[in-house]
Order: sequence, then C-alpha cells, then structure tokens
Amino acid sequence: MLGRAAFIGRALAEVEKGLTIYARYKVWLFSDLISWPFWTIFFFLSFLMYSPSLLGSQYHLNAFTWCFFTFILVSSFMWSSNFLATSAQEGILEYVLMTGSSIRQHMLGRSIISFLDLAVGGPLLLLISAAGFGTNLHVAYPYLMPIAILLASAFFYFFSSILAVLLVSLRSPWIIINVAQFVIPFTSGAIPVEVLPPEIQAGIIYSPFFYVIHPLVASATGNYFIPPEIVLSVAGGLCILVYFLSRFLEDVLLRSALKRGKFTLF
Amino acid sequence: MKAIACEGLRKHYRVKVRRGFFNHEYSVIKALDDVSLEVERGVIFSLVGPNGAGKTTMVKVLSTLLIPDAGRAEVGGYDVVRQANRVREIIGLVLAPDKGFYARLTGLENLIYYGRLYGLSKEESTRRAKELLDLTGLGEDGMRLFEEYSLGMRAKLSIAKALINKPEIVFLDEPTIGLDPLSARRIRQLIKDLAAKGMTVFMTSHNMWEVENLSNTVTVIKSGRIVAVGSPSELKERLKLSYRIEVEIIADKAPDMNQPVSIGERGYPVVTMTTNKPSEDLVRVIDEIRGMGYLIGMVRVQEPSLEEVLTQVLSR
Amino acid sequence: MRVLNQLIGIIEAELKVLLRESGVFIFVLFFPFMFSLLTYGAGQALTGGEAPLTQWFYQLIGFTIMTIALTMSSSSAWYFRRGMMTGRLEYILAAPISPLTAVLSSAVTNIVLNIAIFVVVASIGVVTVYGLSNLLNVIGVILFLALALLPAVGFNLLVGIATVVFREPEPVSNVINAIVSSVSGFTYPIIMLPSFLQALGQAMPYSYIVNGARDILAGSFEYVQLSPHLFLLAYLLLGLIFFRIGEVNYVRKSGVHW
Repeated sequence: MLGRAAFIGRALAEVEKGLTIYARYKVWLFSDLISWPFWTIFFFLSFLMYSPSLLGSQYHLNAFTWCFFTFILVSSFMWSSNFLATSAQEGILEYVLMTGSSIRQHMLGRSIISFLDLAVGGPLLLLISAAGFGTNLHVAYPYLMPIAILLASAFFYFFSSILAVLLVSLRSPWIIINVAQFVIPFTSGAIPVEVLPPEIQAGIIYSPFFYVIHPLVASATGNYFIPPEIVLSVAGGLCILVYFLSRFLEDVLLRSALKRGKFTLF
Repeated sequence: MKAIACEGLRKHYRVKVRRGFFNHEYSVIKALDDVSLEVERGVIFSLVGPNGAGKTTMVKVLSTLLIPDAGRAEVGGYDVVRQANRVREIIGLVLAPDKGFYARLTGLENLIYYGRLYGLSKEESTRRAKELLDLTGLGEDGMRLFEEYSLGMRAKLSIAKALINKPEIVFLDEPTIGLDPLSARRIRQLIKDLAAKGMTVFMTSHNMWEVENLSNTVTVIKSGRIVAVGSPSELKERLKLSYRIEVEIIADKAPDMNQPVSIGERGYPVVTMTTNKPSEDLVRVIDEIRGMGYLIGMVRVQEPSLEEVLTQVLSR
Repeated sequence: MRVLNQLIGIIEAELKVLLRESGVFIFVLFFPFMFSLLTYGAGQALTGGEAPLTQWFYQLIGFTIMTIALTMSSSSAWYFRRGMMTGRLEYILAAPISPLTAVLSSAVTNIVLNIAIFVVVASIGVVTVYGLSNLLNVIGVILFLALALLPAVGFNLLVGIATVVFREPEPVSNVINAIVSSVSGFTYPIIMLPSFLQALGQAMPYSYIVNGARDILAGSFEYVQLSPHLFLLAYLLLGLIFFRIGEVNYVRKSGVHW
C-alpha cells in the first residue's frame, strides 16, 4: 500500500497538471478577462434596477461588490464539479481510479484552476467596481477576510467533490451546476443579511452554506449577523464535516457507479 | 496461484431502446452470463468474439472498473471487488486506445502524470515515461500535445501508460487497433517480450492472425458466455478442422488418381484434398504419385486458421 | 426539393437530440423564473418590500430572451465544437450539402424550440401580472419572434465564423454572451449603462427583440416598432455573406481540424 509520500506526490501531480493545462488555455483566460467586466455590470444592474438610487450609496456598492466576489468564489468551485463528468467522458477518470487515486485528489487539479480564477477574477472585480462604479472598497475586518476566504475555499472544494460524484452519471451536469452556482450563494448570505426582510433573516441561519458564505461579505461590511467567532467556528466544523461526507459519499457513490458501469454516461 | 481466476461471473445491463421522438422500451443485455475461466501466469491470453459479446465488460470487471452482479474473480490472488486497490497496484490497462489522456498535455506529460499517481517520484516517473516512449516507438513524438496525435500514436501511448507502473498483469483491449503494419508488429513484439519476462497479458482483439500468433490460450465468448477455450492448435484439433493439401505433379497431363486432379498455376497437374489427418494422407498421396513414376514439383499444406475456428464456433 | 429534404433531415435529427436532453429544457424553462425571482427578492429587500410585480415581469421576459440568445449563440459555437469532436462536421462537409444548409437547419430547430419555451414562460408571466385578458398577446409574440429572431440567426452565423477564426468555440461564445447580456437591456433599461455601451446595445438585435416582446405582452406595442427589425435583417444578410467567406477561406484552406 502506498504511504504519505505517495499521497503528497499524487497531490503535486494533480496540481502541476492543473497549472500546465491552465497555462495552455490562454484563449480561455483571455476570454475570462474580457467577459468578467461585462458580467459584473450585468449582475450589478440586474439587482440595482429595483433601486437605481443605491448606485449612489457607498455602503451598498461595497456590499454588493463583495457579494459578487463571493459569487465568483462559489461559482468557480461549483464548476469544478463538471470536470469529473468531463473526465469520465474522456476516459481519464477510469485510468485515474486504476492508479488507486481518489476523486478528491483528482479534483485538486481542477480546483487549482478555481483558485486561480478567484486570484485573477476577484481583484479584477474589485478593480471594475472601483473604477466603473466608483465604489470606495472597504474591508471592515481585514484579519477575518483571509480566514473567511480560506474556510470558504476549503468548504467548497470538498463540497464540489461531493457534487461531482453525485453528478458524474448525468448527461448534462452543467444544468444543475448552473442553477446551484446562483441559488447557493444568493440564498445563503451573499446578499448582505441586513438588507433582507426579517422573515428571511430568521430562516437564513438554517442554511449550512450561510456559515461559510456570510463571513466573506460580513468581513467587508462589518455587519456580522452572528458573532464572527461563532460563525467561523461553525464554518470550520462544517469544513471537517463536509470532508468526511465527501469521503463517505465518494465510497458509496463510486461503488454504485461501478455497479451501474455509468462512468462513460451513455 | 493463477494470474486470473473467475467463477460464475454475471453482468446484465438494462438498456433503453428508442422508438421515434418520444417512445422507448427497455431490454436486458447479458454482457456476462456465468463466465468462469483461469489464466496461468506469464502467458498471453486472448479473449475473442463478435462485437457486443462481452469482451470489454470482462476486461472492466477484471480490472476493477465494473462490479459484477454475481460470481467472483481474482487477479493476482486478490479479489477484484473486495481488494480492488490491491488489484489496481499490480495491473496495467488499455481500454479505448484513443481516450484517457489530457488533450492539452504532451504524451510525455500525460505519462509522467499517471506515473506519479501510481506513486513514482517525479524523476522516476519521467525516466520511466521516456523509456516507454522509446519502447513503444513514440520517441520524440512524446513532446507533442495529445490532441495532435493520430489514432496509432494514441494507441501506443495507451500501451505505454499501461506499463508505467511495471504491472504483473496487463489488460489490453484491442491494443493494435488503428496501428500501421510496422507499428502493430512492434507492439506485438513488445507483448511477446513482456510475456517472456513473466508478465501475464490478457488481451482482446478482432485480428485473428494476431491472436493466433501471440496467444498461448484463446477463449471465445459469445453473448456473454464462453463457448470455447484452448490453445489455437487445440481449438483446431477439437473442432476437427480440415487441412488443405496440394501436391504438384511434374507431368504433361493429369494422371488417373484416387484424388481429384486439376491444372495448377504453373500449368502442371495438382492433386488437391482436404483432410483431418494431414501427415498420413500426404504420405499416401506422395507414395501413389511416386509409384506411378512421376516427380513431385511442390507440396503445400495449408493449416486451418483461427478465423475458421471462430467462424465455426460462432455459427453453432 | 433536394435542399428542403436535407433541411428537414437535419432538423429532425437535431430535434431528436434536443428532445432527448430534457435537462436542457428544464434549465431553459427554470432559469428565467429562478433568476428573476432571485433579483425580485433582492429588489424587495432593497426597496423595503415595495418592488412592483411589473418589474419582476420585466426581468422574467428579459431573462427568457437572454436565455434564448445565449442558447442560440452557444449552439452555433457548439455546432462546430461537437461537430469537430464527433467527426460529424467532416461528414457533413464531405457530403453533397451546403454547410449553410446544415447550420441554418440547426438554427431553425433552435428558434422553434426556443419560441415554444418562450410561450410557456411568457404565458405564466402574463397571467400572473396582467391576468388572463392579456394571454392572447402571446400569439402576437410568436409571430413577432419568428421575424425578430432572423437577425439573431445572422448574428449567430457571425459568432460561428468567429469560432472558426479563433479555433476555440467556447471562449469566443463566452465573450459574446457576456457582451450581449450586459448591453442588450434584458434585465435593466439600457439607459442605466454608460453611453458607449448603450450604443453597442442598440447596434445589436436583442434590445429590440426584448423590448418588442415585452410591449406586445403588455399590450402597448406599436407597429412603428417593427421598422428597426427590417434594418436588422441586414444581420442575416451579413451573416450569410461572412459565413460563405469564412467557409471558403478557413474550412477549405485548413480543413475542419482547425
């Protein structure tokens, strides 16, 4: 049986592969850089159409900027779930599983691209918001923001591997991912809690995603709906939970996929 | 201990049959139906049969990628379901030879990637990958992106990948499909060399000539059931397939003989016969010709091919 | 007759493929409701519960037309992409059939299916906001879209050519989708945009399509609004011309392995 060194070796192999492929899709990167400003405008104005006067409110502009920053983070990781189905269709997944590697490790290569998307797309969004909408960007808790980003990244990394396993046998997994990338962040804290009606505020805390998403926005606005130490502790706990859940589901669903012979989907 | 042993393997699929725009019905395909077989260590074992007979399903079950509905199988002494990870460590696999690699990585990078997943260090993996690129004849093409590869190059890379972890047993699902004659010959030689070094090769192929020349054991599968097992010569013998014998007589006209005589390509009479006892019948005919005082120009004995074996077995 | 036969043959095959991917339809039906309700919810929050239902309807129709626009432009890109991946494109080009016939039949399939989806979404929206009395207006939109989507077909032919030139269908369609979505006034009036983006939006067909569809459903459409669509037919002409040039220059020069 292979030990820890091999585990690290596999992780490094996945990371290196992810970076190499990312570097070879320059047209994609270029297209992302052109697309993001337009999508930022689209999202901002779609929400602010209801109250155009808020375009003059620095607080709301700042809050919505971090709201979309959160969306980029969640969306990037969610799309990495699609990678597993593609990998299965291209016959790569079968070979990877043959090596004894796990789905979580295989996902690492794609998740590196998600990190890079965030690393490039996040600052670009902040820049567009500041330059295009005149937002005075502000982070109320600068020491909590990196923790919030790390926790959210870890959570969505494991969550995306769960989603990937659940979706691997579907013909069009992108549909569910496309819906989930909007529903999850915008119903679980990406929209600043303080602007929501009290009934929704009361219900939102029951969403597990809230505890990893809310800190990203609240660390910027300074309006933590629940004390930060509690939210972040719960978020840490959720990361551990989702890690074990991803391991469990990977075993269960992989076995079921192996029984159905559904790796190649069709 | 056998390299591969399986007993009572069964795998049925339920498939949707479409009728027009909206209608469909289900039917059951018996991909494997009570399959039992054993493969000795260090041999080349071939599984042959028509399309959809269950060959790839068998390879997938034995390589831990598909859990059977019933029955059990051991590869290298490990159970393919309960000890799947153990099995994976000791086997190499080629499935569809044109798939399984990242399009935007080079052949070399793809091999190094898989080598590292098998637990090799980066240096070790690179060295092994280069070695395998040379062995399979890809050489410098290893530096090109996989998406630029021809089908033959992809097939070679698949075989290289199957060997990256120095496996004890390799499963090759149609390894020479799409290869040019020289490349196919190179791969066949490689397969022979691997077996000579003690590796067990389990392969499927539609090229009967290749199977006949490479295999120690051939198994014929039809609709998920094994219908014949043996070495190529055993199978021919068991089916009592006839040899074709031609004896050319140096004479101006056809002599009066017990066998039919026709005029051959060189203009001499040729005795032609089909027999299950080639040695005895050949001696008898030669004696008869010599007894009549004629010289013999040429003797040709044509062995029945494995293709004939397959045709006979499958048409039953 | 022969071209018609080819056209029908491809439409039938495309329809079968699309109908068997039911998930795509559920998505196209579900997406406008999901997104418009999401923004409406946020709008209620931002306005203290005073967001009018007509604004939800405004965005519902906008998201639906936007989904249609994105599906159509992506489908042109995907037509090439999937064709290249499966080798089908080479077979089509090697057959005695004009590539234009193949692309147009694919576009016609998309228009028919997208109008069907629009009818379902718009009917729900109209009944919710204006009541049953405006439901008949949906028939007017069907006729309107059958004309108004023609420039969109031309526009998508240009997208198709761009995918050939840049050799990467998805990134090209992603960029075009982002630009089209943000400047066409699908979910907000384009006057909220900087003036140069407004001009860009007015130069493309979608702002006229979405405004026309909304006005017909609300019962406030005037025939004078049809005039820009006649000019926009230039897109169809341009699309056809550039497709032909593109086909000659790129497909024949470098084959379809681009």
